[in-house]
Amino acid sequence: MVVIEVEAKRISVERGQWSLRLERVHLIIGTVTSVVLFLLLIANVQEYWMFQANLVSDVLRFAKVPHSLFLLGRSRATEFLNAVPPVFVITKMVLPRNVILAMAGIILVTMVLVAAIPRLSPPVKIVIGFILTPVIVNLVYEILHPEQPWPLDVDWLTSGIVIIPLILIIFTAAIFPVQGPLSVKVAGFACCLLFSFAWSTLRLSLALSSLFYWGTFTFMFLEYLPCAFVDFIYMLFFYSMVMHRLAISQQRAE
Amino acid sequence: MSLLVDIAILIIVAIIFAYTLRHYRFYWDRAFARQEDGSESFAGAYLPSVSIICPMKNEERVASRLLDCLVRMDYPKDNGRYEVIAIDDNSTDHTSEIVDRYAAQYSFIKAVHRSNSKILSKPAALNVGLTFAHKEVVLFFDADYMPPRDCVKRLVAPFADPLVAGVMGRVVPVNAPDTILSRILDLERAGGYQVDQQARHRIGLIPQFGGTVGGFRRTFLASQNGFDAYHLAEDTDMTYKAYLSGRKICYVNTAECYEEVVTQPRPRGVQVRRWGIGHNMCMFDHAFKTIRSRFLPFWRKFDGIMLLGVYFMPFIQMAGWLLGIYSYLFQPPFYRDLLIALFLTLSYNVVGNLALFTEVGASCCMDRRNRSIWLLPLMLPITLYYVLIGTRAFVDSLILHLTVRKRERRNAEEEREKRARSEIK
Repeated sequence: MVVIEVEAKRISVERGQWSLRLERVHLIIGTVTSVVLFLLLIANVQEYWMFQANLVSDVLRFAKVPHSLFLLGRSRATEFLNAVPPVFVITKMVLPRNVILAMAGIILVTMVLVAAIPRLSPPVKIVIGFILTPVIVNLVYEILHPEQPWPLDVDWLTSGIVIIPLILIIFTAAIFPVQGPLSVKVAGFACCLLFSFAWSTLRLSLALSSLFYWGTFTFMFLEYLPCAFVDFIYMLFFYSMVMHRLAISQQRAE
Repeated sequence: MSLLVDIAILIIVAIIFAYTLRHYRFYWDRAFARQEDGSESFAGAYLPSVSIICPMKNEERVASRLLDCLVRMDYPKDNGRYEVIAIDDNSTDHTSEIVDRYAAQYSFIKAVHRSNSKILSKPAALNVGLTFAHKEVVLFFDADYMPPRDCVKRLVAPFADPLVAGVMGRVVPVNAPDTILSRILDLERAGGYQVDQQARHRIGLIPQFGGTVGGFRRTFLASQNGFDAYHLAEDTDMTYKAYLSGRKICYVNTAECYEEVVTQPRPRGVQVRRWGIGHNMCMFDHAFKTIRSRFLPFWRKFDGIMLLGVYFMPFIQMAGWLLGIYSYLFQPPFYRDLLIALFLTLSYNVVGNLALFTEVGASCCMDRRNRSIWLLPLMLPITLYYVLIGTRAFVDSLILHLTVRKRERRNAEEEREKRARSEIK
């Protein structure tokens, strides 16, 4: 027993036994802020949508896309959180079937060629495949439903709104409890939310413009790929950035 | 059909959500709970006799480096308490000569040569090594690893507890700066060991023996008749055998060992596919036994099933994508808003389970690797790569399970019956 005690003294605490100090106060501040923001969002979804729709409308006007915006018009979409999504009425380009088939053929050949190039590393091939697959899917969609870009109705639900609770959760669970200056966390949090709003506005504008100029397939391409990828990438980017700053401040404190 | 697809999507989202919660639980425990480990206080005080088995197949480049590390190991080598069994496993290069040279120079190193073997697999080589190992604890090190001087001391400490069947140490890549891939693998290892394994050990779930930088009590290995020579994930197989027999595996986060990770995506793909097939075989073999086990409490069973399903998840994720595309193209359902939201939520989870990334972020923070945190977004293409490889591995393992392994098992049963009959006669 004595031997064990003597040996125990010789063992220093190493990184295997380190842990991050829990900042309880910051966690409470983060949780309260997130809950308040979430409640505010729920209570003001209609206003949020109207504000964003007006911005999108301005961008569309700048891009010379003729459209009409009905802020409180009757939508085909289901109501969400007692709010009605704003409606854009827009002329949609319908591509001839031959053009669509030719494009699908070109993309498929490109995919096969990319897969066959031995020098290209597998992750690069997969990313290219991942980008081209939605294009094919949307070309098929264009053939199957040339007049029904129905997901446009619910676009509002997924673009700006769904991402906000995700950001709130990530920052509350993974950033606020970590030891480090509150100012860095709050600044990262605010920047991420602002970027999210700016990006979703820009993405919607791009998607609607492409609907006018090129038709459904590019609209869906612009809609789904950035949703799945870019939203995630920028969340990860903000997370890395804030964690980097917190890690540096921890080291300085030591 | 429409309803079936919607239900399938809901189930997939629920499974992904469960994994996300599991990873957040691990992250939270590892990041903020006190990391006290009882076995740490025994390191250097409890020194059982140890056999170290090192299988080497065409490893002339790294063989002497590993053997040098083991020679320099800070562990009492008196009274035959420490032995190294270096196995030249059907090598065609100079590995055999290197092994012989060290065996001639040091009395505690034994050279074992395998040639023209019928079964050319790592577990088969380990089983040969086990026949020469006579010490209390058997540890394993692959040839491309570099154990530091205190590694063995730390690894054997948990064996002071008689319930411990095996141990696992932490693997740290040394060649991280070589390529982008090796940097990303360094992050993966950090998250996997520093957070995931350590949290599982601390919470009392199922830390996993990873095939190297760890080992087992010899009596336990003998009770299991060694490793399954045909298994591609003999490490996971043995982990579950330990838990299903009422014993446990300890993870020792301070027992660090350095390794060279692969630097190119193609060999990494081969590696992940092999692990995937082996791990899925374990899932087929042990899932029901884990559920029925009388030794495992509820949460250990739950985690055991989730751990077995790790390489099943890429298939699930791929299925989620395909079902999402199907719904999108052919059947706008009556609650289409929900489906779109689900599809997107699924995408967020699929493209990069954020909880996993927070594990990596926290581990970088704890390891004081501030600059590495910036590489997190680069893990994304690799994650996609794994989804594809993992899906293929699942399909391969399913085919293997339904054809070859079933036949093998049937043959083994017939053989057993025949033997029993002849004994009666």
